[in-house]
Amino acid sequence: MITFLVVALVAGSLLLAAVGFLLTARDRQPGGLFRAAAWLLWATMAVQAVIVFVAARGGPKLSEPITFFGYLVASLVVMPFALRVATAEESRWSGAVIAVAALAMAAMAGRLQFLWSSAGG
Amino acid sequence: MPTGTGPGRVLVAAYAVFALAATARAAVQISTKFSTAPLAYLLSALAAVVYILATIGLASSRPVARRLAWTAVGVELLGVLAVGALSIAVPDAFPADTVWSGFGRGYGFLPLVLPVLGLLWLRRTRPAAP
Repeated sequence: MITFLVVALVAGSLLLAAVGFLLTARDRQPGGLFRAAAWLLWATMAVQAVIVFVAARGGPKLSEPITFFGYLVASLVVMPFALRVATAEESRWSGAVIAVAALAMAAMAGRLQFLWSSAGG
Repeated sequence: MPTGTGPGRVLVAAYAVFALAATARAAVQISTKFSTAPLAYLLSALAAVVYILATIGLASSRPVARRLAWTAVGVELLGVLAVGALSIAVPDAFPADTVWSGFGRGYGFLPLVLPVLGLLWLRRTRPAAP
């Protein structure tokens, strides 16, 4: 795991979630910029996943490889799904739907970091 | 009013995340270390099924889905209360964590909050009595 990417992912997810909930609270629909930010977050996660996947081959031995890769896949599935749900019915609640997915991504990025750093060297 | 619209979409999204997380976790537990704590892992699997059914029930607008959602969310609340209380009262019986252990402590207590929100939402969107 690239530490600064993890930090960026968690911080970015939390920021996106905060903006998403704020949009809902202020009765606004997510605009193109917000969607672009959600995709940027997803792309960052994808970059991280590729790096981790390459590093995991011949790298430190993970104690729970199946759990680790499960989180990796799940962290990539959540946001595209939420964006679809949010777009299918455009309303003030779209921002909160994306915020829920962003929170899930933050949690999973944290779990991935934990599992990675607890791997034996 | 259908349960999967407006604020209900946020609830459905949260349930979908939990359905994914619980299913994946139960699958890993049962496939890799089932014999170490069969009861806890069976409960994980039950929780996963409940979350999947609740997601479907809340997302769909068919009348039968509402009954499914009531049942699934009700079972979920009973499950998190029972397992939460038991895991604190008799920790030895729960050597391994489930989603519902300690009232969902490992998941920011969301497993306790979600069914309450779900039941309130189902009541709020209940069709008017004929």
